[in-house]
This record gives sequence, structure tokens and C-alpha cells, in this order.
Amino acid sequence: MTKTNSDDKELGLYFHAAQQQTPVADDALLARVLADGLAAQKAHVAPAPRARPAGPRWRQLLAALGGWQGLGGLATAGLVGVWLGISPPAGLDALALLEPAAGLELGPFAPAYGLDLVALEEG
Amino acid sequence: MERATPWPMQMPFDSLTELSDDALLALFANGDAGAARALTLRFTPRALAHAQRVLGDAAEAEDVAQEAMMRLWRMAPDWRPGEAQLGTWLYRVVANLCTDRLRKRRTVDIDSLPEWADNAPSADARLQQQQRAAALQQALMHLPDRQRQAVVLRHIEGLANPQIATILGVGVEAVESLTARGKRALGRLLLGRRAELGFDDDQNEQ
Repeated sequence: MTKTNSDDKELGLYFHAAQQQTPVADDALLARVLADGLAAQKAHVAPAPRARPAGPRWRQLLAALGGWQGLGGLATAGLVGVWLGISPPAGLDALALLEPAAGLELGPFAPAYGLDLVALEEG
Repeated sequence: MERATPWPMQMPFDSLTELSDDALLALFANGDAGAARALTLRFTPRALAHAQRVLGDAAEAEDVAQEAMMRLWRMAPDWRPGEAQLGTWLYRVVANLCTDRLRKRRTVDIDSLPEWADNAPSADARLQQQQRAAALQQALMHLPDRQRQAVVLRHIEGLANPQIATILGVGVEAVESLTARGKRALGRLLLGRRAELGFDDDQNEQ
């Protein structure tokens, strides 16, 4: 037993010596580790990339108009307008004549009104 | 030499070094660069020391330390404070990385043991310490991986058996067994010279 105790004591000297000879982390290693840490941190903390309107202006305009679907609707509306202008359906004539007709109706009144005024002036 | 910055300017860093491991890691995960620095300084030396003592190779130990710290950086956002000790977690990562490397190595290249410090009576105390440490390192390299890790953690790094059990993923009794066998083997390797001189009576320990 005393042998074991003295062995323990002597081994203790070796362990103590090893404790005094701690390997040193040099500046280069610390710098590498820190660089890794900051890079990882950036990856963690950085917000997910925003879906900002990328690409050329025509693509941004397209997006503003509602994408290809929106543009399709817009084109259809435009073509319908052109077609109505070239070949208006029958029902559209009456509607189209309303405004000029109103103007024409006003025509007789104006002279009449004018004549009344003239009559008053004359009377 | 005058101080360029007044004392309060250094407060943030100094106060960081006093924070708990968990608090530092939470700060790090929230993007605090000072916490990254404080964690680097706190844990890299521990990772390096264990790796170097287990691998016996400075360059390899640096690689292991850097890799272990990289794992720490990556897991930071997922860390649950209070569930485990960060130091224990890191030791475990280092221990496993060392085991992987030792397995790949297959054969450990061990030089002959250096001259015993006791045989150099003229050497001063510091040189004697260096020689003892070097002799111990050489002897450690003769031990099986797990024994070596257990002995280093227990007798050089001074950890408690339950913590070592967690690090090595074994029970406390297994740690006791590993360290006991490791110490006996070290005794034979380091104190064998004395045994050769006629003081040996520990055959019953074989």
C-alpha cells in the first residue's frame, strides 16, 4: 500500500508538471476561431434576403400592372376598344347618337330663346 | 504610457468576460461581436489544451480546436440555457474529434521516452518540470484513447468524474475504472525505472 501511495505521489508530480505546461492558444489560432465565429454570426443574424423588385424597369412595370395576367387583361380591354371603334355593334349607335342629339335639340331652343329676347327688346 | 481610452470605454468588454457561458452564447446568437470575442478567448484554450494532450500533436490539436469552436458557433442559436454546461459540451466535441482522428491514424508514432528528469540532478526546477511534462505526454500516448482522455480530464484538467462521464458518454464507474487503469499504466511507464532498481513490488497489480 505504501508503494502505491508513493507512486501516486510521484505521479502527482508529473501531473502537476503537465498542469504548469498548458498548451498556449496563439494569436493566429484565436484570430482564425474569431473569424469563424463572426462569419457564422453574420449568417445566423442576417435577415433573409428581401424579395425586392429586381431586374430591369420593364419587369418592375409589369409587376406594377399585375404581372402577365394583369397585362393580358389590359391588352384584351385595349383590343376590345379598338374593335368597338372599327365595327361598333348595332345597339351602340343609339347610345352614340344620344349626345349629339341632345346638342341638336338644344339648337332650336337657342335661336328661339334668342328670338324671345329679341322680341322682348323689340316689344 | 497614457491611456488612450478612458476606463468606461472598456466596460462593455470587461463586463462581457464576467458573464455566464449561457449569457455569452445568447448574446453571440443575437449578433454581439464582443460575445464572439469573449467566447473565443474563454473556450479556445481549453479545447486546444485537451486536444493537444490527447493527440500529442500541436498542429492537429489546433485543427481540432478550431473545428470544435466552429461547431459551437453553429449550434449557438439552438442552445438551450441551463440544460447542460457549455464547457462540458465543448469537451465532449473535442474528445470525439480526437477519437476520430486517432482512429484514422491507426498507429501512433511514439518516440522513445526522453531522459528522466531524475537522472539530471544538475537541471534546474523549471527544466525538470518541462521534462516531467514531456515524459508524461510521451507516456500518455501509450495509453488507449479512452484511458488517456479520462486521465487527462481527471488529473491534468482537474474535472470531476460525473463531468468526465458526460464528456466521454460513459457511466461514472467506467470513468473510475478508466482513470485507475490509466494511472497504473502510467506508473509502470514513468516509474518503471525505479522498479528496475529493485523497489518494485506491484506484480499483483498486473
